[in-house]
Amino acid sequence: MDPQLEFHNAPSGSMQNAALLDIDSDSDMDPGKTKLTDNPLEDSTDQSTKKTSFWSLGFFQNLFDVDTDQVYDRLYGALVPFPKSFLQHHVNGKPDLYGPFWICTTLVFSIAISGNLANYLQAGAANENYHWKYDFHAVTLSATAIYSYAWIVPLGLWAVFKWMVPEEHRLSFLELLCVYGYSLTIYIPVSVLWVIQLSWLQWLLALVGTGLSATVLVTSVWPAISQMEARRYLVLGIIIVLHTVLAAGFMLYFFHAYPVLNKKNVSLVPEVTTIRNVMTNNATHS
Amino acid sequence: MNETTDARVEIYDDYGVEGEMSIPNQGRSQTLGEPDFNTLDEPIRDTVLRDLKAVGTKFYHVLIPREKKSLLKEWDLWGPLLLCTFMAMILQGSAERDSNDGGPEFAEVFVIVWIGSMIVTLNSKLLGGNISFFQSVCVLGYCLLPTAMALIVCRVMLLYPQTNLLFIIRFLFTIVGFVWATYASTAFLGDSQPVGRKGLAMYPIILFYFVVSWLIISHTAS
Repeated sequence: MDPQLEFHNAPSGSMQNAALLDIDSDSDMDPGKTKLTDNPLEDSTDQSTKKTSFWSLGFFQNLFDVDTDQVYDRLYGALVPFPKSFLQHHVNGKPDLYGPFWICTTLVFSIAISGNLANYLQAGAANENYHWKYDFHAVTLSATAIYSYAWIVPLGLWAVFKWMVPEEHRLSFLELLCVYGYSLTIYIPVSVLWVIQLSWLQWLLALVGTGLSATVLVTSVWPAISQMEARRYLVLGIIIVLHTVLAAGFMLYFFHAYPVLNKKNVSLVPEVTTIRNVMTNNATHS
Repeated sequence: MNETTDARVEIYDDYGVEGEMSIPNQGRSQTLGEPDFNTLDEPIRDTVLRDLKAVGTKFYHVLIPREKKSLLKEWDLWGPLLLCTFMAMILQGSAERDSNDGGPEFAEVFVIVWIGSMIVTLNSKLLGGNISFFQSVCVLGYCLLPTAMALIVCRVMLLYPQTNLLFIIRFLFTIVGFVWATYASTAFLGDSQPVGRKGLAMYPIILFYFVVSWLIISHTAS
């Protein structure tokens, strides 16, 4: 079992190699595992980073090493956080990036699409003859917000842990990414339901969604946070506030009806129609 | 010992191939599996027509996805390029105004289609899929054909004054294009995934065509 040999094998990419590799390295790591029993989570993530370098395909294959059932289980855990904490009972020290990445991507489009739908309903309610245009650039905006939230906040939290939490209680960066990614799951159905233009329902959904996903976050990171003596409630407060701000921002920006905004939209109608006329004229001339 | 004999065998093999090289084209193509045409001395028309024919056959296989391996044999990106350019041209918003015009820019459609299909492919590679990168990009690109056809139908309908009925028809065509594209790409790419992960690899594909279909149904003549 030469570790150098394993390192070279992994990037070749075929699944069989990866599977073999896992078996080999497990048997290799067994003695190490028994030594570091106080935190199995830390140990296993170290293992995956040790095996392959960051720039090889094998490194990322380790992060996408999940089956459909596993992902279902994790999604369920992220939606129903009550009996057990998400990170300790559903991830089991094997964080993946499949879920976080595709949950973020789905959320980007579900927010953009249903935001457009909500906008359409608002415009229709405001004015019968309003020539509605969809806004593709909602995608750009929601993508920027979601992707930056989903990795900058875990990065910050990871730095805080590195600074203030004793090593054996820390969470790895990948675990934080995983928890943050999965905690956004609840917002996908919520963003679809936000289309319904009832103010009280929108606020209720925002409250329930934030409550559930903040529970996922807090129960997962609490073991690490509780190690900071004085500042633990401060950090916890910041996590919850940031999460709430994200949800409230989505709802207010993409879904909530503003009377002022509607007026602005309506005033655009003549300009849009003139452009249409010009374009059709051009088309007939050419 | 073993290695030296291996090396010798290889040398003999090389000589053997060189010997065959002098034999005329047909013989070589049978032994080495190379194409039985020579692009050096054929008219350009033949070359272009052959490529067009290859693209046409692939389109046909997307519309009727019966043979599973038909699209995977030789990949090319001509079809995806054609489809993508066509869709981007129709879908792009007008450049005259920068606010509330709504539609994506030409380049944004390009980015969605190409980066999207690359990310989907990368995802299936990372999950352990047994398919080459460009093969998968090729299949995903060619399977845009049904959605592009839905776009043509929608564009024609947009020439008439809009009613709710027309919207419903456009919506139905878009749905059909989406389902068709998803079905075709699933038929071609489904077998390349390990058993427990088919769902994980299919989900991004569905999302990809869903987003493209959203662009199509949302497009209201510029």
